[in-house]
Amino acid sequence: MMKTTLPLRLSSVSFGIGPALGRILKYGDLPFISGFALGSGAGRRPVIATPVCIVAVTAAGRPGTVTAAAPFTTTAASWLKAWQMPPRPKLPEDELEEVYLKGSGPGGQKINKTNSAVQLRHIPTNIVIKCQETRSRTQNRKLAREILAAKVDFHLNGDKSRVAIVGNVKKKKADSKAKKARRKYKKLEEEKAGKGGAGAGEQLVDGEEGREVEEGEEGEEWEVADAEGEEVEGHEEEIQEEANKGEEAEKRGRSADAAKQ
Amino acid sequence: MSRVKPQLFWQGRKKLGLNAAKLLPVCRTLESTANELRWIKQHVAETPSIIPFGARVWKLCDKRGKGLPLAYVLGNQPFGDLEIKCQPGVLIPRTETESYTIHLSNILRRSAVSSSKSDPADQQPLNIIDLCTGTGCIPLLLYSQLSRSLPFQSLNVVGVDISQKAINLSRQNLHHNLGAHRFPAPSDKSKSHPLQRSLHFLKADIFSSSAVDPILSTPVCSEQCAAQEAEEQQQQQQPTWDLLTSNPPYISPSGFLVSTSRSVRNWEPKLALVPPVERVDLHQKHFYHHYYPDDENLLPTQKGNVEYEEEDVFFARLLEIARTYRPKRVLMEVGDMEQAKRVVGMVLGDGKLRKLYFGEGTEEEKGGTVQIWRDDLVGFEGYEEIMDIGKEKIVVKGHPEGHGRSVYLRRVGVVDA
Repeated sequence: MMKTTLPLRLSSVSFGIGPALGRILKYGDLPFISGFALGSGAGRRPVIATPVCIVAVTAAGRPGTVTAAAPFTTTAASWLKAWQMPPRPKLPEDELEEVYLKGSGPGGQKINKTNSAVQLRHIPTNIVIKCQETRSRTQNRKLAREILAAKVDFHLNGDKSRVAIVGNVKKKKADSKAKKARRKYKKLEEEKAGKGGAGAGEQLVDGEEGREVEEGEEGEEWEVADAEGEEVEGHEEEIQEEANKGEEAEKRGRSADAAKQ
Repeated sequence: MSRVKPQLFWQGRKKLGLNAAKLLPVCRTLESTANELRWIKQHVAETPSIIPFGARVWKLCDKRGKGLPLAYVLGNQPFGDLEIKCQPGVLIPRTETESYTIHLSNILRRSAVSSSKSDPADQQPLNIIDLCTGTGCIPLLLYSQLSRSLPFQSLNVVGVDISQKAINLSRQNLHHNLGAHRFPAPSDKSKSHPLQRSLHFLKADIFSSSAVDPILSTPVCSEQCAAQEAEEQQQQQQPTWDLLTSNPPYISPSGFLVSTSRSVRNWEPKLALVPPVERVDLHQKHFYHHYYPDDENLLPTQKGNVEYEEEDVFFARLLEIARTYRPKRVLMEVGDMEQAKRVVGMVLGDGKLRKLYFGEGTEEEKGGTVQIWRDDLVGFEGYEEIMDIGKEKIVVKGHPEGHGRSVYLRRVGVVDA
């Protein structure tokens, strides 16, 4: 596969996302290069890479996919976390076998089936998955390989697998969110009982905005990797972003609480 | 068409909502209903509009429930990693087509890589032509795959169709995928760039020589290529096509009424599915005068002589084009194994085609082959069997449970399929 070694387009620096910019300057003044991954496939995705991240990525042993593989990291703490996460599992092709799903009916021009399911089997462990996520057989094959790799990883490694660790990160984030929400509403109650809720309204708005941005991204979960061999960034970046937002929201919550007290 | 069990409706309503009831008669199973509903909802979520979400989903499910194919409902169909826009009046790209097109691009890539010369400027451009292109899916996918996997290879890809609607849609698809950065832009011919990439769609009736001959006889080829090709024995002065593909109409009128699915029969254009069988003049001319002047060339079957069906008329024309223009590789999609065998019979029964593509039968004559490919080659490339057609043995690739889907010809002298 050809890697286009073109430099990241430093078209406009850090104009992409307003609130993100605010957060970055607040949390450490890391240089912020934004660009667009050129070349086919993932053309729409903004790539945010800091030199720090690039170092981390190559150090972690990822095959030189520097451009779009750098995770969305903005704070020093979550950069560290990204580095310590186990790499995305990948299975060698000779261990995989595609199971033939016999189509019903004549096929070809006579039928326009919408279903293009792919069934994939991992030979050593005999784990089989069926993927019918998209209408494209090509994309289903790619997704099937990822899902199967994750399942095999979980089967073999249990707690140490990437899935488990990601699950823990998500759980932590969800717990911290719940805690923050509980704190907030407790405060609201107290303030309502005490003064009247002018101050608390502001906090609520911030929190909701964070949630909306997150949900918008989850809708794009099944973005396809572009043809230059880079893996689907959707899952990992979301996880990173959720982790980041969870942390930042927590910090904001804490600092707001500190300010209140 | 049997009734859908009432309990499915209840289960559907419980798990998937009210829209499931509209989709079930068309989708038949809960699984497939769930999938289609999910895709409809995703599509509505991804395309902004002032109309509220629920209303749009309801309307699209209504349309789909009447039998309109999902690709027309949503307006697009994924094909490889491209998104092909679809509209009524033009045939929807099939997954079987996608499968052999990707396999073809792998073949072309491997052979270009293995025969690449050291200096990129000496590269002969790859000339590819697709007849009866419809939405332009095959040329677009080949262009996309090859321009990425062979970055120093000049490409010249042409798509031809009789319908103006199809040509307009093909051009729309080109711009749509270009705008989404799914492949690099075709380059301008006027610039003296060493790397030339062109992608054109032209309107022509392939049965009319006056319309198609100008297109077929001028693949782009620089003076350098002509000089190199003059060394090879088989070449004449005219430049050649590296690949001729086609997915022509191949369903007989009776087959259309009986074996097509309802959504195809009622909503897809008959022009793309059933050849003009009432044109008996074409039929006679192409079958009997060109190929079988002496009956002994006809391959025998149990009934006596091979019965060439009326729906094979496009293949007769395609093979006539192959005889004249001698493309290095030919791929024609067929309806089923029976039709594939008949087409192979047409190749083997004609002296010139047989010599061009099958060879004298001596082992390893450097290249020529006539193959039948089954459905779903990608991922199942290892499967191969030998089939007897007439007196010859033909290689059949693909998983044995798949239907016969295409006939592949490679010229003698061209290696590394």
